[in-house]
Amino acid sequence: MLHSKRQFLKGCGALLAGASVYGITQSPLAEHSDTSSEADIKYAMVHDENACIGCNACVEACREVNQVPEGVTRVKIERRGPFGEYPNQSYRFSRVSCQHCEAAPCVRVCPTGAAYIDKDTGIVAVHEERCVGCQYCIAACPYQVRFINPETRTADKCDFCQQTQLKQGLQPACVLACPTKALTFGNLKDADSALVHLLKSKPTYRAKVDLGTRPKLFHIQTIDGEIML
Amino acid sequence: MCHISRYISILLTFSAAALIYCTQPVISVAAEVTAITNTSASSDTCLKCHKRNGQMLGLHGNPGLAIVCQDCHGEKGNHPKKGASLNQFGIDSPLSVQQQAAVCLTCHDNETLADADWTHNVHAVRVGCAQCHQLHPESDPMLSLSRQQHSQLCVTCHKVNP
Repeated sequence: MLHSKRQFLKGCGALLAGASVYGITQSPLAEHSDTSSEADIKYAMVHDENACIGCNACVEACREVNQVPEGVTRVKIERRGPFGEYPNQSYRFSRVSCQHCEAAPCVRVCPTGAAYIDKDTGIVAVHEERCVGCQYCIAACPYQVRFINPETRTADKCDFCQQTQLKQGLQPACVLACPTKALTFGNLKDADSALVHLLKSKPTYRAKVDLGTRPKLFHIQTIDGEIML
Repeated sequence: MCHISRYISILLTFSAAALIYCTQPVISVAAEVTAITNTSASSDTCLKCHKRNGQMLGLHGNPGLAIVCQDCHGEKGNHPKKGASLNQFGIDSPLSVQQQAAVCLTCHDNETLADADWTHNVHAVRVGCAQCHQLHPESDPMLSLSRQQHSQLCVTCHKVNP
């Protein structure tokens, strides 16, 4: 009798422990990252740093289409160099803009729910009317691509032209403006898309992947001066 | 009395000097003006024929620089006749891009040019200076480009056909 009572208590304890562990793993953060994987569209972009000439046509097109005021920008082309000796010099360029992370730190810290990941497209965007300009997202973004729009006084950043070009069925303004076709935009879940073909055919890298943000802005590294793969 | 008039004259001299200094046009030329050896030459002979297309109106026409046609275009030689070896600039020039640039680089310094615009470096052996810059007119269009125009200028050459 005594033996079975002890067994019963042991069993109860094990059950409780198991239930609590199960509860912990089903955290809100885990739920958050699952939502985007169910949709048919997951937009991403590739920047070919070999093709980029640093002309800033993308920056100017973005400014015009998305009405970005002077002094701030949604996209930057970072220039490094010159490499080599005059007159045979070269530069390297890298696009700096929202990476549309799947586990976006900006979305996690937003206290009002203004920063969000669009479930249908995977785009990280801002509900302007909900943003109170607290700048938590600006501090949280490891890529430092967010800014306060001086006109709306809300957080602003690249949204793959969600409100402007994509609505009209067009590619983002920067992609259309690029003279050397260095930018490729498309759906990661469409196996036939130019984006997926490119990702499968060329080695790419993403910035700060070790932070676990799962960014969706891919870069094709400049071969000049690098190891050929 | 004598002291006072002396003070006044010194004061006047200083103020006149300051006035002259202030009214001088402030021109920032990205060039180190090196001594031009061709002192005996003048542009008069050239301008007898080249009345319209020989005028130098822009920054290079600044009398302080005292640039004459021969400094860039070379000695006349037997010029109006065939086989003359005058330097021509621009896309139709028989000179190579590097030969054309060498003429400009006798005064201009490549590092100063790179500070003004990094694109000078990447075009050093590919595009002649005169393909973008214009020296003879009153103002060089390259000096008053807006950001958008600057980008579009790149696009005109670098456009990849779809």
